[in-house]
Amino acid sequence: MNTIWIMTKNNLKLLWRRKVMIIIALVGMIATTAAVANAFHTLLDKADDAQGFKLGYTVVQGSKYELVIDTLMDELEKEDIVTQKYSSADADKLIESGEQDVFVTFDKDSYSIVGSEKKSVETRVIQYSLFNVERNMNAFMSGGLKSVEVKESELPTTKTPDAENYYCHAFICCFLSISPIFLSVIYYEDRKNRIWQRYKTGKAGSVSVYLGKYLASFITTMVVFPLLGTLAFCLLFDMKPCNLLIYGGLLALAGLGFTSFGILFFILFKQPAVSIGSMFMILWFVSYLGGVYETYIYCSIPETIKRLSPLYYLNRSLIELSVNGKSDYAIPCVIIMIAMTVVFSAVGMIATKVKKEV
Amino acid sequence: MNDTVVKLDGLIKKYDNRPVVDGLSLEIKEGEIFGLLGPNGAGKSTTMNMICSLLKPTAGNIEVYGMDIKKDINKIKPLIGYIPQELAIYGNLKAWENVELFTSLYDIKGKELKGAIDEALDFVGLSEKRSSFAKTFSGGMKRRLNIACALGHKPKLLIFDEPTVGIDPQSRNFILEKIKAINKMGTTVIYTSHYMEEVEAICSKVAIMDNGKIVACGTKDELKNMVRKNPDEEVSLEQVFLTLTGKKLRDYVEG
Ligand SMILES: Nc1ncnc2c1ncn2[C@@H]1O[C@H](COP(=O)(O)OP(=O)(O)OP(=O)(O)O)[C@@H](O)[C@H]1O
Ligand SMILES: [Mg+2]
Repeated sequence: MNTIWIMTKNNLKLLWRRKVMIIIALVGMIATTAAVANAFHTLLDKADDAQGFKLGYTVVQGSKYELVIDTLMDELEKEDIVTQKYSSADADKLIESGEQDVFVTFDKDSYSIVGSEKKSVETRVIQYSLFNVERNMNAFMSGGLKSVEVKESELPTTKTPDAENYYCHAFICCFLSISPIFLSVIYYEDRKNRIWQRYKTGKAGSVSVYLGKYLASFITTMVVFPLLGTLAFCLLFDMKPCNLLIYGGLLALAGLGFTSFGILFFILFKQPAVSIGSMFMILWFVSYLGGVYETYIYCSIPETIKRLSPLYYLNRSLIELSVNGKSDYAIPCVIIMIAMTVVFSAVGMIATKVKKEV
Repeated sequence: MNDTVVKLDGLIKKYDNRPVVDGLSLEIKEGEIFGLLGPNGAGKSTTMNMICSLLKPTAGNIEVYGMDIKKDINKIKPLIGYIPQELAIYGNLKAWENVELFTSLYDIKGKELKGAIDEALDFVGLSEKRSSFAKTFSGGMKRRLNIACALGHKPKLLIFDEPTVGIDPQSRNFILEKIKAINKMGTTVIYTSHYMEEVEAICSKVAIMDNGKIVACGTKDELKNMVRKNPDEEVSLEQVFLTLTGKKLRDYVEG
């Protein structure tokens, strides 16, 4: 224990004496987040709620909906939806040209809805409203009448985060995952100065040597990204983390998991450049699937593939917890992070023991 | 009482089937300063690395304090202090932090650790520089720190692998004096070098190594007697080496 603590302490000194590296990492994260959040502002903000879109429609003569159509449109207008009646129109063309966001064709006994790909939420709003209309009309036929209501709160949509909140979460997770690169400094010095000779001749086993580096990296990661990063984000971008205990707990587990993953690259490859390069490649992919570059909410990648990325679970849990206060992804996330920690640190310890150079 | 500290028996190390250490057998006794002399590439470092378990022998046995290195390595490790040929210190740690780190590898803690750091730094004359970063040190000071890092756990056997390479005569003399002093306190020392004068100055027993083999082994006088033609003839170790190997040591060193 004592040995591990002294090794951790000195490794921390080695890491933190390169302040520049840590400052660059932190500033880099903030700058990237600001840039990306700004670029995607419009995308996410529009999704914030389904207000202010354009609806076009046609009604054929003698449609059963003629009775209620004016009331319905009035109600929709109240919800800031701009409606426009066409005597005849090509729905697909109107949608494609962007003239309308959603188009409804009322036939005699049925209706059809066409929505643009980017307006799936809006399309659902209309679908739900019409479903309500249908229900009320059926009730009217069978004797009881209720006025047509469109209630947004009943809509089966969940809240979505704004761009800043989303990207603050996403980038903290992303940078946390790559932060073991800080360790490259120590592994580089160990090899350049052949320090490993001392570790191998010393009584402390390879497990202590491994843990000394592991803990130093983990502590650094936690201080830089979850702590300082979150603090900066809350002040600068109005980030809204969920319950701090859960937030910190999930990030700590993720820190353990990704640290044990990252260290592997330094143990397995002799050249720091190769270690960093291969680690970046894999983590870029993991981040990509995890919704760091493209929000997972609007990402077209199939769910099954996204689920290959541990960052997807982490991101999604944190963001959903922040916005909705709950997430179905939190428990799987905890399990995955623990599994990563156990598997990768076991491999890391064994590799440290087997390799000639620690 | 068994006073053998290191016993090598038919030690072989091969790289790609080329023997670098070739059937080495030696005994080093308690309290000796044992000089291992040989030109560049003779296999000195390789032998030392095998004794302190940095390298696995291809064949042969190593016993340290009567214990087999294959079985009792964990009992042997705390008994040995190894000073690597090339500096193994962190430039970005202060002198005392370097000693602290490498001494802690031997499960030494608290007050004992603090005392050990002070003693080791004092011994190599770096007390005043204890809070300076190692990267700011001169070559000689780095060498001394390199030594201090192996002293903290108070080993009974110290292995110096060319500790005086690339430093000025004053620093060299300082180090040689210190080695003599630590030996007087009861530590057995193995000292490898390709400098004849150093070995002649401090070692009680000398082995001459070439091409992975021991060419001759004995006290300085025994070795000199091997080549003396009459009892009054003045001979140096250099001459011994020349006679026994047919080669000048300087040729290797410079070539
Ligand atoms: N990893 C290795 N692979 C192949 N050959 C090696 C390896 N390490 C050492 N050698 C060879 O083994 C031989 C002995 O090397 P060693 O370092 O033991 O010599 P030395 O006597 O310590 O020399 P020096 O005075 O230069 O330190 C050299 O010829 C060297 O090239
Ligand atoms: Mg050598």
